[in-house]
Amino acid sequence: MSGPPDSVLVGDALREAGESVGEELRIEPLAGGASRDLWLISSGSRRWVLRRDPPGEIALTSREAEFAVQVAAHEAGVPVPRPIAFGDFGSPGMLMEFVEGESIARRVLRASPAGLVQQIGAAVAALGRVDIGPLEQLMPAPADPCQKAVDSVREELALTGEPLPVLELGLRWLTLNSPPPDRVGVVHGDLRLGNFLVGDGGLVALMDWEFWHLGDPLEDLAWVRARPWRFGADDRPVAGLGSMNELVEGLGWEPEPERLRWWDVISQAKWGAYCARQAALRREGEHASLERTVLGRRVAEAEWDMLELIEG
Amino acid sequence: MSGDRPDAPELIAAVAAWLTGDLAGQLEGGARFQAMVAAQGLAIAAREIQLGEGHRVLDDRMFAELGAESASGDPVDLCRAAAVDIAAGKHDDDLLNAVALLKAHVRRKLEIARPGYADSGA
Repeated sequence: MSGPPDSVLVGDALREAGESVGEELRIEPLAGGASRDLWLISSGSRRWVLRRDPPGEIALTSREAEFAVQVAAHEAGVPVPRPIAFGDFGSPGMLMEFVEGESIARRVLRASPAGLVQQIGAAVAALGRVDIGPLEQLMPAPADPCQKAVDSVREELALTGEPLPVLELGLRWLTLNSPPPDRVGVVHGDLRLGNFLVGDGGLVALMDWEFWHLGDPLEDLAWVRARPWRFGADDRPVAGLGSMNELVEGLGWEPEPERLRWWDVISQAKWGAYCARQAALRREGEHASLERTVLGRRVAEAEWDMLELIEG
Repeated sequence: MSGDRPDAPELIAAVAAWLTGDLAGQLEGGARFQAMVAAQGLAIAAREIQLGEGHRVLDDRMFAELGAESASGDPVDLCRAAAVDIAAGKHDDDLLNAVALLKAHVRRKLEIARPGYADSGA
């Protein structure tokens, strides 16, 4: 854990953005940031969150782009914490409004408010209305989102240093069955329990936009219903919370089944490659996490689900 | 193998039982979760010791059916040969046959890594 950000920098940035900030700023670490540095900023009863790159680490994703997409999503009516400012806070970071709610998957599953799945569908629909024009300067729109997704799994697979014939078979099927490019929109990139901030009335905010990109909106729909994110509640395919009908109801349009299946298959290939990569990173001394090490063996689960999806 | 008891699977099972029983009961939150993950890792290792040999025979047969060859006969080399063939399009004409063969291989891997997973609904 790095030291807290400079309170003068933070206070100035908030004031410049028009936030009412008192003399005293309290800054305390906030749990929940797996890969980013999260801080709770408060002044009297007002609260904000600073999300920045861990100082001294090379960030693989851009906080500036994350800020831009959150601004665009907020304007399009997607529930997100209101973004306030992007800047240098010892490392690149963004300030946003603090939003009250629960995000821990098991707690959300235990007491999920009615209508949550419809609200997730509606949030994806709103995301589809974001004007991608201004975002394209920060994030190029792929000519063929499916090809790009295959390439990125291929890269991850190469980094595992292991021969993985089952995932290789998945990539082959994906290449041979790739649907033609359709519309391109903003993809959240990690739409699942853990990134839903939930209150008594339902979905309060979609969080963690780190992996957003321009692509096929069906990617998010496949990811949110992928088996690993159901936490065992396989009778409720959408995030362990509800049905596909509920999701479509909120979405307002019916995804093309074969195209969605293609994204279901690649979701499993991507998850499998991610699991396998954790074992490789352990061997390379990049982490010493027991959880991530054991996760390596979940590659077999992803492979199984992927093959079942291919068989149809 | 020294032949002395407890043997490796018995030792692993004893440590896993201690982690989930004695230790986890005294822990809370994140530490308790870590103890459970540790036990899970040991359980996978124990099952691999018990089932690995038998699986290897079946996997060798499966890779032969798939047409994957390696001079060493080492499982990793067989996996590599199969992966190269698949990527080169060798199975494009009958991809579903390759799916069925590899599915049996994955089912065996799950018997070690996550028993029951293949038989619970997706």
